[in-house]
Amino acid sequence: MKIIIAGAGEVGAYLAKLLSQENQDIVFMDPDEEKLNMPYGLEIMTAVGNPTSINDLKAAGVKQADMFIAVTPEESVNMTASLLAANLGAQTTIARVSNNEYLLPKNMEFFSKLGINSIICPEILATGEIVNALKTPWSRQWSELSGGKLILVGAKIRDNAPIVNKYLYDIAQGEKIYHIVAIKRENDTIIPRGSDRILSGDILYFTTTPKHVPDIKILTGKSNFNINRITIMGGSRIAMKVCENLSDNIHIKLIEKDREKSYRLAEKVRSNVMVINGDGRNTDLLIREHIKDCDAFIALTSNSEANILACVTAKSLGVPKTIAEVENVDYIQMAEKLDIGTVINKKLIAASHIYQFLLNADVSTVKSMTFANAEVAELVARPKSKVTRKPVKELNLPKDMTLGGKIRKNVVDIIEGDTQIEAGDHVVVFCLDSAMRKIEDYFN
Amino acid sequence: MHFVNWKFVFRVIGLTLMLESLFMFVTAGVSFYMQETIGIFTLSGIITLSAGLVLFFLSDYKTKFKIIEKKESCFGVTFAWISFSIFGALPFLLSGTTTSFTDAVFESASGITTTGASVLTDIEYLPKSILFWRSFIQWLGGLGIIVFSLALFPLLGGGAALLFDAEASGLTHDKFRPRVTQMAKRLWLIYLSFTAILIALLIAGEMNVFDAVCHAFSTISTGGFSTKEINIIYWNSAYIETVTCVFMFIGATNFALIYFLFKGKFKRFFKDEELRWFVAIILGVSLILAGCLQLDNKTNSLIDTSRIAVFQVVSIITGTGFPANVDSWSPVYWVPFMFMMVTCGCAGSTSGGMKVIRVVVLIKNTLYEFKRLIHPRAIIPVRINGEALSFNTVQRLLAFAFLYVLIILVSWGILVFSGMSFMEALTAALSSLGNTGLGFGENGPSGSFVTIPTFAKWYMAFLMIVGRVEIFAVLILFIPAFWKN
Repeated sequence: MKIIIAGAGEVGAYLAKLLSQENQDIVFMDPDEEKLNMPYGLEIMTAVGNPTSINDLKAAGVKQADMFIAVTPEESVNMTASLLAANLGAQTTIARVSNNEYLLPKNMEFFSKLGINSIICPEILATGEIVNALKTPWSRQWSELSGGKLILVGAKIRDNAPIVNKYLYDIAQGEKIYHIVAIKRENDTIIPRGSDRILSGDILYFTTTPKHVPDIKILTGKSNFNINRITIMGGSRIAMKVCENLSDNIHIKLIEKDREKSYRLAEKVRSNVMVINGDGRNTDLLIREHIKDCDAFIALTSNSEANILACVTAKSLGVPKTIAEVENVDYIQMAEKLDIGTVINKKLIAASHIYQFLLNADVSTVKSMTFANAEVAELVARPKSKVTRKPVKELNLPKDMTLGGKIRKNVVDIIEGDTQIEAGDHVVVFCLDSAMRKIEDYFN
Repeated sequence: MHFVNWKFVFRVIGLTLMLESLFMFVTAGVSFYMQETIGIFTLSGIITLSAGLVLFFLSDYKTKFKIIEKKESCFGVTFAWISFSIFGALPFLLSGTTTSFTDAVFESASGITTTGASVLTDIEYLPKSILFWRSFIQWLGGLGIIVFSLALFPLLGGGAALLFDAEASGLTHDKFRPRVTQMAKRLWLIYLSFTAILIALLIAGEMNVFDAVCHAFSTISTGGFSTKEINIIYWNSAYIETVTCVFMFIGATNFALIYFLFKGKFKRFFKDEELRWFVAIILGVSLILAGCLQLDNKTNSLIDTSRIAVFQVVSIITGTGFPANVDSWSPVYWVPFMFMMVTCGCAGSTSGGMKVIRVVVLIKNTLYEFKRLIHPRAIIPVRINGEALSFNTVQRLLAFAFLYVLIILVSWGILVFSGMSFMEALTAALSSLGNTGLGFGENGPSGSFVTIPTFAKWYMAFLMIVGRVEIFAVLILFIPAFWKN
């Protein structure tokens, strides 16, 4: 597949790296030659040029491109570039935007008429993850699949959990209300079998139906608490969107270091948000602003290290839930070890979204697990595809892949060994990054 | 002083005077219809028109002004109002209504600024045309003479926006049309239609046509001149008071907001924070007033008491100054009255004073200051309609509020020095700066200011204009930095 990525920013560079490892033909395009050299030593072709120039696009080979991804920092450049690319012959186009309005379904229709097939906004996706994380503060990961019919929830197991030190075949008695799709242990992600044992310190990923979520909570030994007071560090775009998306009765303190910027923020936010000018890493400031009464601390500055450290500080001051934006992918493991509740990474979020287009199957959602090197995909089983031929236990699924649940005519089921997948079923597949391409074999 | 573009200033004043002469000729028509001598107004009109034409030609009438600065607009607006007041005094002098130039200018300034304080007595014996003229200039001044000029003459070129800015009231002057002249036309259309409706309603209330027209003019403009000595009490009709009350209220609401109402944006109108506060203040004070009145005089029926209370509250807070049917208000009531005379109506209305929006912002800002003490590093903006005001706006407003209070206090002192009594000087200062026109004590509600010293009259006339253009445009002329290049 020939893919043109326009815009050598953080997201662009990450995508280039990821997709080139997937053996795709990548043309990496940016007006700034310096930036193009950033992902060093990759098997990609670089093209110096302006993504909104027709000649430069032609020179980059847009005519033969299967996919055109515009991820420059400028929304309008991305829109224009995608329009041009689509009309110059690119098969699918994806534009990154920062404006909420563009994402509304009625407007999406208009854009697809113009030739822009998909619009992504990493900030809004990240905001969604943060808001979800705040809804269930006890979980490490919370994703609603198939429009909320199926829940993927990740939770860290401590010594107080009823299921600690048990074998999976021991706890899988009676009606199957959940499926443990993955275990994250140290730096490894395991697709568990019956013979695996749950240890303290594991992060367990469950798929379940919304009504059984409380059971998972009991199983993992967690108690629930409501989020009423939040402290956010860093007045980034994500921070502003989080403030917009949380309900009015949640009190938010937004700490921003830059004085000028905090004035601007104060004029933009609603009345439940108090903007405070100061450094969120300053313990004195945090204590004076009653960090102890806070239910959640969210660090969203552009500096990953600062975010991690601030979250650790907040945790030590007694904040039960911490969320950190960690843009540096290598730090994610570390952040997990430091017990930061939820880690947000714009690049991973954007990448998952773009994966949808790479998979040649009917995929409706792809989510990447920030802590585990894994993805969750929701696919439709096509008629006569491999997956529909035998019951699940006889399919001989690869070890790095498991089926989390299925939706048949709006009825949600957790998949067991005897389950038979039928054509047209929506199936939630959990797989390690290495198995991403194998999915296609089973579903097409 | 070569750095001020005098030609532009002349053009503005010239145009306003030509506008005024037009109104004089209309009044001359009225006097002809009333079978009075038409000479007074024709002569005044001719004098004013010639003055206007001279200034207009001095301004090189063919040039189009391109670069107009704050200086010219402040000059233009201030002197437009001053010269309008002075030429507006001509009919009073020529008709012999008063022999004193001071009184004539006072009456004219009080009219044009919609203050409604009068130095004339035995009003019923004055020529009808003079009564008409008094109400007519209030009507004209209500929405602003510059706005009217802009609506009529497209000759001011690029200076229009700045002139409008210098005259319009309120925190920020939001435009609802891209061009100021378009906006001015719409504002006057709204104003005109309200006036027409009011005239019809008053005639329906058994007022004769002449009185109805005059009262409509001074009600919608929240001016307060009447054709009767005892003012609106003369009719003693609940209907007329209710109608007047409603239109005083309309006159004191933001006309831009009314425009949105006409445009079908109901939510924007009814959700407006300033309007809600305005209604809340009126209802609250009326309730207290009615309660006190009822306790004072238990023989009155509750309905009568509420009628008096609501009418008086609306009349004062809108800056109209029509008196209600009460023999005399005891000093207890002066206190809430004085507060209302400072607050007055909404921004962008015909009413004067500090405007509700400013008072609301001041109160909110003060309350937030306590919160800011608790959270020293927090940045807490003042919100109006859910949207934060910029800190610059609030800062400018604080300066405005301080200046407003300072002017009242200093004027109080000056008026006391000039020979007025302690209490009357205070109310006179409040009344002039807030364009209310109501006096207390000897200058009582339906009384007049004829007895006050000459200097005090001039000073009050000056205060009225200062209050009408919201202080800055006039006072900036007294700032040395303004005169430096």
